[in-house]
Amino acid sequence: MKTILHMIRRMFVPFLLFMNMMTLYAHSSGTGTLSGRVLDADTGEPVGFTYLLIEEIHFWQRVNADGSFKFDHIPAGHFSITTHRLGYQDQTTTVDIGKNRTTEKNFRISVSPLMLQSVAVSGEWLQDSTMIEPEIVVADKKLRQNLGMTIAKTIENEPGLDQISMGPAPARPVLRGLGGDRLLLLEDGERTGDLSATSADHAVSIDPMTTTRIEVIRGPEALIYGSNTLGGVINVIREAVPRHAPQKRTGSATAQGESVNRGSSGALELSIPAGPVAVRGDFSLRSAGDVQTPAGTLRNTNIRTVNGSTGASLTGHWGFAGISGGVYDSKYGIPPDPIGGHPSGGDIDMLRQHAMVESEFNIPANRIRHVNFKYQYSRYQHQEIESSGSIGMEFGVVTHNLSATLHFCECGLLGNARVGFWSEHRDYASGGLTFTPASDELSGALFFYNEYFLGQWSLNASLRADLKSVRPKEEYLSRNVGSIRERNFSGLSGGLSVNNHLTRNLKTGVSLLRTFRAPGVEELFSEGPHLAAYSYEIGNADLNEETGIGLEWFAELKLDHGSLRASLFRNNVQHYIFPQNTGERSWRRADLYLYQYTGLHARMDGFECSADWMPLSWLSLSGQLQAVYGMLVDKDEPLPRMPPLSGKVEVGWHHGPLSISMDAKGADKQDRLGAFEESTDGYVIYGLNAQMLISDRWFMHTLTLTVENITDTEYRRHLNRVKAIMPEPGRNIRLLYKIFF
Amino acid sequence: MKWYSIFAIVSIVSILFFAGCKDDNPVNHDEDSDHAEAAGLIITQDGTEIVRYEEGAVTGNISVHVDESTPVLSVQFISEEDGDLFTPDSDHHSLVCEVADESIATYEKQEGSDWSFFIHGVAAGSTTIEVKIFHEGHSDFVSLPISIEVAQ
Repeated sequence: MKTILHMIRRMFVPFLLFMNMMTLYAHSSGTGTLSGRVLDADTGEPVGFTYLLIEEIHFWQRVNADGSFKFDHIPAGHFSITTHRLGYQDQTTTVDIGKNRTTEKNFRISVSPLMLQSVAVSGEWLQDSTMIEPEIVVADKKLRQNLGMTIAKTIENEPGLDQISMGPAPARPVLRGLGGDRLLLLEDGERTGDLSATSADHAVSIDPMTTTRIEVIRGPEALIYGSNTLGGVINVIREAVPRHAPQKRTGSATAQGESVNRGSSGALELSIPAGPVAVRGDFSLRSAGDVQTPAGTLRNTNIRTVNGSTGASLTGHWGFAGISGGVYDSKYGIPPDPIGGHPSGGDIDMLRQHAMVESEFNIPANRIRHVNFKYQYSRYQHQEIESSGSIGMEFGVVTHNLSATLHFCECGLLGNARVGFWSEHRDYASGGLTFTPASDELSGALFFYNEYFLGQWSLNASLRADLKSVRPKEEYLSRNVGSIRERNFSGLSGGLSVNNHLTRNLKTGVSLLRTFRAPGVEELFSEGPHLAAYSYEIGNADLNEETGIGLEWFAELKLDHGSLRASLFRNNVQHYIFPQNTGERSWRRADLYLYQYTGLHARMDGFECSADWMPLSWLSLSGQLQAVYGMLVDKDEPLPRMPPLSGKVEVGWHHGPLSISMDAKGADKQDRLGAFEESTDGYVIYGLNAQMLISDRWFMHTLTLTVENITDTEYRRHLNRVKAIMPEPGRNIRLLYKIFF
Repeated sequence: MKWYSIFAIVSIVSILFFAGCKDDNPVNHDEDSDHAEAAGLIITQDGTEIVRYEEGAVTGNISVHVDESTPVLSVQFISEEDGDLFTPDSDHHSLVCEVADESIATYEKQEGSDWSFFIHGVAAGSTTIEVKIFHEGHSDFVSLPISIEVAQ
């Protein structure tokens, strides 16, 4: 079996490269060109540096300084095109692209204050949209305001989102109380291959500095990416493999500094056209010292990260074929815990090398728009280094992902429809003070997704079938874990969402999702002290697959000067797998409690509501409130690690290129505690943000000043694993400068 | 430079990159580690077992009088693999003991012996001691607290 896998892997890369080269000879007559200018709706002046995004095919372009743009090789069809420009309202317009002709289209966009919402107040929905948009989008201006050290920090202010962390560097998003493997974190639509989902001390191997856009996808569409997406999907878009050639050389440079950890970071991103070839590269550096809190310095929380990637694609009317490669190298500290057996803390040294081959062919057939092939390789190494300099633990994961997706045109009952397969081979090994066996994981899936619009109704549905095999490289009987043996899992997942536009301003809908999640090698077979996580972890070789049913209702009102959204949800999970504190101590490490993976019936109920209002042209108000209540139904006790009720209000003042806002955000105390969990007090903290935009013929400059926790309040977050040691960071002044060219 | 030259260069660089991608896991699970695999211990005094920590439970205690020291207390560990007694390799491991209340009793390592110690009674009362195997910055083994009784 191993030999066969090896052969497949070895043959696959040359095969894909061959496929890419073959595209040189592919031809199609099913594409057209879109060109035009972006203009100010009031003055008619060109508006340069505007992002244009063709939503259905994820083509984007930053328009020239004179407002002109040109998209070549767009498959014929009906598309939604969204404009993003700092100082202007985001706007979505539909355009029909004809075969073998150039469609001229000018986009007239209206001046707006520097609102932070990515989807600006527009009064009503686009009536002839052909696709369902992502639920949350963090891009340009919002991305710059919230740009933090991690992806989790960058999106933590979005409705329903929180972060589980263990110091500033290792942090991972949590959505509606669901985190880890139930909230997929993707880079350009593929898994990262790191171990951030398995433990709180493992960082995510994506640097937000070089990110173009972050999308949160929930509901049936999320099942395209994985069967275990009850929480949803966070897709970080960098477009490492360029999808189209830019008209001219474009790029951006970013510099950021912050006071709370004396941190500094910088990034450079460049896209270069060379005939039909598009070349893209990005590079970022990050350095920060120990975090200062109102109670003192949180020792050993420094971080050094180097991140870079390059990619190139050949583009044409037939589609594109490209390749990319990159490295993410980070060293960060885990704060010391005298109680947990790590009096001096530890350091984590992680390295991810990754490469991707991607091609997309436009198919000259009536019902098919294009077919996409993608292969990703990731080699991840992670060492936990003791204060003496020796390696306490290490992990290695080599991952191969292969997928193919067929995209259909809008015709008949098909809308934005996709059918495809996805597969993964994961080679896992651990070393040092651990007894988890090296293992292979093989996964495969078939999926189908469709959207359908009928008058005021819209419907989207998905269906997915998954197989997974976990194969330890040695089989034996463990006293704690059980029989270490091959485990095979299979399951179906699916989703259905129905939305109704009751009026041009009011929309409501329900969504039903069934998910399937097979346990991983860490949950099945892990055994050993995880010093960085202050626990002695024990797998459970007899775990069954986890199945979830998610039900959501929402209503959304859009008015000329405001919007309101509310949702209620219930997630019911059978065999919810989590490391439960057994209350017993390890025999080997009696100072550490045993955390054994357990599958129990869990239920999460909650709500979210958010509102934006612009009573005057220079004044904006916004707010949000969210809560989730988790229960272990079998035990009739609270589910551990649930975020408390939290909310945020913001007041903004806007004048021309300058925008200033103040916010207050807080959380209630969390006293609904799981076994052996400690309560957390409530808090309110205040923040300030100022953004300024200056643009000329050649460049656009943005300057963002953010002050977090102005009053230097001592507070603790319930999902911070080191909250007992030290509170959250104190007052932080952050300055970000970004230039686009 | 023509576009196909650039594409050829990028393709060659990419192929070399892929060729350089190692398919083997960066971690060799089979490598021997020198971590001490202890799951329990016994403490002997004059060749007699006075304390046993095994299967998560402690039996016995350490007794001493105020202003006196115990005879030499020797520690041996119980292997998790086969239950045999062993003492770890002293080149990479060391014995560390922590007394919870040093106003009741103190700990002193015996010179010339890596795995032996004394307990000195300071004041009448009870306290506990944790026995650890320290290995390059972390504890490979930590016992449950073992009772110390100090009498007048």
